[in-house]
Amino acid sequence: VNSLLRLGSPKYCYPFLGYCLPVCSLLCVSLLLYGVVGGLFLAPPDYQQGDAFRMIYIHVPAAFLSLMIYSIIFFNSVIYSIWHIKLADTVAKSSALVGATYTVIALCSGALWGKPMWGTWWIWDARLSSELILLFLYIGYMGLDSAIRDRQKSAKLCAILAIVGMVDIPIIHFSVEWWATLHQGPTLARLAKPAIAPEMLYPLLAMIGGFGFFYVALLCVRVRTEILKQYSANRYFGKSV
Amino acid sequence: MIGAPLLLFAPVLCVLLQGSVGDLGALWLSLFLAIPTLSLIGSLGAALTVGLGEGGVLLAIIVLPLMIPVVIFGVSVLTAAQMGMPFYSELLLLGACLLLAVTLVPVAMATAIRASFL
Repeated sequence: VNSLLRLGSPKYCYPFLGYCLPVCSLLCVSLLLYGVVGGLFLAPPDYQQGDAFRMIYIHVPAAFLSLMIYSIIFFNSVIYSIWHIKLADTVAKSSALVGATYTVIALCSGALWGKPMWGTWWIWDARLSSELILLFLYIGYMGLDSAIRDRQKSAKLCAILAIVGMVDIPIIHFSVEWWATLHQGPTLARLAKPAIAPEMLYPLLAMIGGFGFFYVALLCVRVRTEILKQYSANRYFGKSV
Repeated sequence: MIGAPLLLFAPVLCVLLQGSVGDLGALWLSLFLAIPTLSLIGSLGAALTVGLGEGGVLLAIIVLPLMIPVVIFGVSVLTAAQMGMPFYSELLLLGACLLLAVTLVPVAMATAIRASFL
């Protein structure tokens, strides 16, 4: 626990992230390679959708990560609000842009998938609308961050916004179960047998992992840059790194 | 309390928009529960942007995603009422939103205002 707590200090965190970066990049590239080859070439076409189902290998990981990253922002905001660890705020701020990008990817790939399958790019379906709300949440969060000059003030206010915005996440997650709409229910469920063939499932899981490690690798780079920006003037920090 | 006059105008608007008199109770109840919730969310947005000076567009972007769930539940009350189905569960959800907002938003607002004027 002690070594975990020490990671909150930029002096220890900076080199640690330096070690994490190549590991995560390697994992990301290998998982994505397996996912792309397994998903696009080896997996059999769907009996109804044909080859168009392969959109799942972009769409589902992006959508999953968009929710996941918001939860990470939420937990970091809680940590910042309680213990005032600056690093938590840095992690939350650095995650927001990646999360927003994944949300846009999920929306766009969903539209591209919806056109041939549902016959429409966009519909005001529960899942689609709530994913759009998530994009607005990210945009509002980043907007509030960039509008406030003072670092500490911005950290506190953005933490409040992220915590309040968390009420939308369960709504987005369960929207397909609460309202019977066009978007299908979840195919993958934890602790349950997934309703998808294993040769389609494993590449999908690999893609989710690859997207996840891509986010962590990006996070390492962004947090390191932020730390350098904040502490480069600090004499002690400069010596230790 | 800008929403209060809306409660009075609701019957007129309901008739103007071709709603039947039977929907009026559902409309009125849903507005009664939703308007305070929306006001609270709006004031939270105002508290977050109060230190900025000009925050008009930002306020809209911040508040919009938080308000949409309330609007969805309010609309589902009306849709259920128009189809002659029971709408108590949707009303209860609106009430739950209101309770959540009443208990938690003032705390968040106080923290936000305190942080804005460090």
